[in-house]
Amino acid sequence: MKGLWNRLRNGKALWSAYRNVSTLTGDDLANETIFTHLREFAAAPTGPVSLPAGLIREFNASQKRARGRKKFRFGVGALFATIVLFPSLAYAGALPTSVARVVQRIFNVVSVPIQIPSVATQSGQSDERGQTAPTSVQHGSDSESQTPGAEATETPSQETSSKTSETGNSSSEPESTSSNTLSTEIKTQITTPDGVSGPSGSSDEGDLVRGDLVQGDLVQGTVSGSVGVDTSGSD
Amino acid sequence: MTDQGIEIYRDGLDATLRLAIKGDEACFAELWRALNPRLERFLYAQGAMGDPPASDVASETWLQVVRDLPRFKGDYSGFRSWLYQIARNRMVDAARAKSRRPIASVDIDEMDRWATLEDLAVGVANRTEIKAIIEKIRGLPAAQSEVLMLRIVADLSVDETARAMKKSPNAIRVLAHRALTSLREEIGSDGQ
Repeated sequence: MKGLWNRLRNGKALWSAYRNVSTLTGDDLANETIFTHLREFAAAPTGPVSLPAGLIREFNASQKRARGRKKFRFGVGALFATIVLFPSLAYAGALPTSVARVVQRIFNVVSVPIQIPSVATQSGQSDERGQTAPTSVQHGSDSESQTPGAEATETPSQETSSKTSETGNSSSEPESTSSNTLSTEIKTQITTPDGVSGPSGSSDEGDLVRGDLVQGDLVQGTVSGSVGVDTSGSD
Repeated sequence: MTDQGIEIYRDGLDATLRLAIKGDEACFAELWRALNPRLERFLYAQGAMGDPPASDVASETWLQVVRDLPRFKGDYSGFRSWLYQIARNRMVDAARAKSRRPIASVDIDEMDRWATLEDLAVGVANRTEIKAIIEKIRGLPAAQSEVLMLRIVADLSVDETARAMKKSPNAIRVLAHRALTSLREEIGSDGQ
């Protein structure tokens, strides 16, 4: 019975406290006459005062620091975008080709060169390390089927043709000077390691190469087909 | 000043605050002139007298404000809450430092030196009554005393006081109500 009475009393106290809080508006202090003099003291006018010089100095220094922080954050953001964000987007193909090309140029300046696939496919250029672009590889064995868009890349492909002939990838050479160069290289290739020039005896492909080179007018079509075989044989 | 006049004044200070955050020195000076007198009086009344004096604590407060002002986000009301929050923290720091190197305590008569500041237009007769009420308020529990000082001397609203003390507005109302009840009882018993 006593416990119940205590609970009721506590409940009543709680209810009373709740009513007090809910009826408090915060304005009870504003109308209180006890604080009249205190308010007068708080609101008393002051004479003209100027900002202390030390505070002005600190204010200017703080603003300068804030500007520095802002510049630093901007720089970090720009660096991140240049090195990580834009190259990643360009590599994923999420950027337009023109933007991707710019990104590739900038990235090649600030870091190691990269090859963005979309940019390489569009231009058909081979990169600086001598790798042939995918489109030029497809058309490398047939000079007649070169795409019109690849005209601008003829010169670099001619330059690299002598290198690619060694590795098995060849491009067609319509001019006789180039074919002479090629034939010289091919002769070098079919020369046996012990210095004896001529067919190896067991290789029909070697015979075919030598015969075609003698005729001259058949160099273009035949060389491109047989160099790969000969190279694999020499390996 | 009418309510409308106060509203216009506060709108103007909002704009002043925005310019001060951007680095306008004149606007910051205006803010300082508007807020520093009450801040110093709050610190005096709250008990930051003696060593270090209230003006030193106020200077420390403003230095902290200046350092963090570029990062401040909010309006003039929020700025006032923030200012008094920093002032409370600096006051606690000063009290801790004072406890580490104890000095002779300074009583309420220290307020007499306010007259030498020549910044108060309070009559000498009223000054005694002001001292008496401040003594009574300082005799209350710390939280209640602080609420009264912030509400009356610093002229903060309930919400601003709540933000400055990191409590809910209802808690502030309850504290103010209890403080007022206690003061009335004390003054009534003194009168008898």
